[in-house]
Amino acid sequence: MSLRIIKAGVHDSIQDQGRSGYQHLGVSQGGAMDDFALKSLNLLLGNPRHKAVIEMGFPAASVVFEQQVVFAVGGADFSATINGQPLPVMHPVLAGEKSSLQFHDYKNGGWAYLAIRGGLPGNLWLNSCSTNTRVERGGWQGRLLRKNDYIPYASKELPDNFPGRKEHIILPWYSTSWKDQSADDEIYVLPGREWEKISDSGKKYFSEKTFWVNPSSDRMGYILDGPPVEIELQEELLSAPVQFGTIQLLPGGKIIVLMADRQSIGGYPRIGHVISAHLPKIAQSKNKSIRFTLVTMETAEQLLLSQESHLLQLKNACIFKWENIFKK
Amino acid sequence: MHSLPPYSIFSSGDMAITIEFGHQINPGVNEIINTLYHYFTGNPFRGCIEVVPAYTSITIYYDPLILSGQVLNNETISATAIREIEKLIQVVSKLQPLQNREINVPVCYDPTFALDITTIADHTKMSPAKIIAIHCAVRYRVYMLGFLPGFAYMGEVDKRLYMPRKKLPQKIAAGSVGITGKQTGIYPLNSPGGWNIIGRTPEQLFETSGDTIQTFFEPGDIVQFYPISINEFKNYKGRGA
Repeated sequence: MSLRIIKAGVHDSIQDQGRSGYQHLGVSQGGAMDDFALKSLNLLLGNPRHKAVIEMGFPAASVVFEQQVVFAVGGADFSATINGQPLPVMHPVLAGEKSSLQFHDYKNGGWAYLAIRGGLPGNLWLNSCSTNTRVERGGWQGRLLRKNDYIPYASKELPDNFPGRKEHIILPWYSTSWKDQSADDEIYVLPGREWEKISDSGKKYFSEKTFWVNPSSDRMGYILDGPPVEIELQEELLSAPVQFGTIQLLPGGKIIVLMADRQSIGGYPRIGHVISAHLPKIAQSKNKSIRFTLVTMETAEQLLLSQESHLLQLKNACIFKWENIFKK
Repeated sequence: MHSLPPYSIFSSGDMAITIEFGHQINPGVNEIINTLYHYFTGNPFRGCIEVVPAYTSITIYYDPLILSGQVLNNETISATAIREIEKLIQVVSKLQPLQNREINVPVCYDPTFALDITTIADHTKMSPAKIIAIHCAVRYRVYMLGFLPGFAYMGEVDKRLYMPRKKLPQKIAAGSVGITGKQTGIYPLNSPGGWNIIGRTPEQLFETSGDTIQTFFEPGDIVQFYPISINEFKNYKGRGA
């Protein structure tokens, strides 16, 4: 079973939860930019939460499924269609052979995901299918997807009365999104090691101003546009480990938020860290303005736990739904 | 036996804790980091994901969902992680120092590979021969790996060779040996980079297949470079990573 890339997008790659345990050797963690979308889509399809998926920037790839498939799209909304009909995000779809999936217009977000029931086997490197384009390993031959690539997907038992060639059924159930108290453009952050070295006006400015995520931002880092933030540092910093979500201040006062493909260590002042529960939100804030709000560790952890319980509910509900489909 | 110098321990976001021993590059401090690294990875606490050592700091990544089971009273998961880590730190003073490997690394300083030797000569007002002799005279310590798989940050470079970072990163070939400030290092892959290139080594800096990766250098290695000719470079068989 495989899908064919009919037209390549700007940045289509196979991703999963990323590889951990190798950063001390200089291997980037990688993994889906929107980990929550990765997990939700997999659970929606009855997969283990970290099965490999295709991550796409906009414009995204056009795909034909050569054989029968059960899939869903989610994360960013790029106005998907299946066999020419509108396809809402986060709905499972049963599609017959030669069904075509396309993404037409940019609606919102930064990264859209295509997940398949059974998952994509991909090329495993260091315990992850995440594509590392610098080392050219993992995912699909260690590179972005190209026109006429045939990407295999696992076969899993299919329900009876499956749609025929170029036909599909969009299932009526879907995954709801997870929400907290924050406004749409509000990103929660924890103070970083060098937060206290920022001038009072710089701190005020950081927490009150609106920043624009520069379109040149990529999987390594999001560059924020806005006037510079002032910092007073006596000593030069030594390079130290940096995290997904670390907010660094570049020379000249520009802000960069480190993302999934960041290097394992960095040497710029760490003024903050996006809380883990808001990493998916900032990842999807490409072409958007954002504001930062400092929160406590308690808040950061509560939101992460709340996100987890949302996922567990989704998992249980979907197991039940799929059991029912196969009983028929 | 290590005596433990003063340190700061703090959260780096909601999934990592960092221990920092000041801001000065120092072999003794780095030795403690290395000892901590080996002890932490050998005796991980429940929920520990990975440990990343650096010059004077070490960061421990944890899974808050797993660690949430260990929380006492009303403390945060982050505070629980700090508590678990502080227990481990205290053990370090009882550990034996690690044996550091000594490695001699061939470098071809021929202008074919030493793309920036003229820039370095102009900046330092020394001849290429003198520059090469100084670069080869020091026994460097590998302080950490990062940036690319197997990229070793080594120091300290002789003051007379201090070079600023390039303004714009340039394309650099795998094996290129670079210098910047106190640091010297080797690019394991073709990559953009901002360090001034002084030569190239024929050594392979990492080998990987499937689920294994082996790097040529490890933190704590003591490294000395020796010059080889272009012919020796071409015929070099390597000792394997």
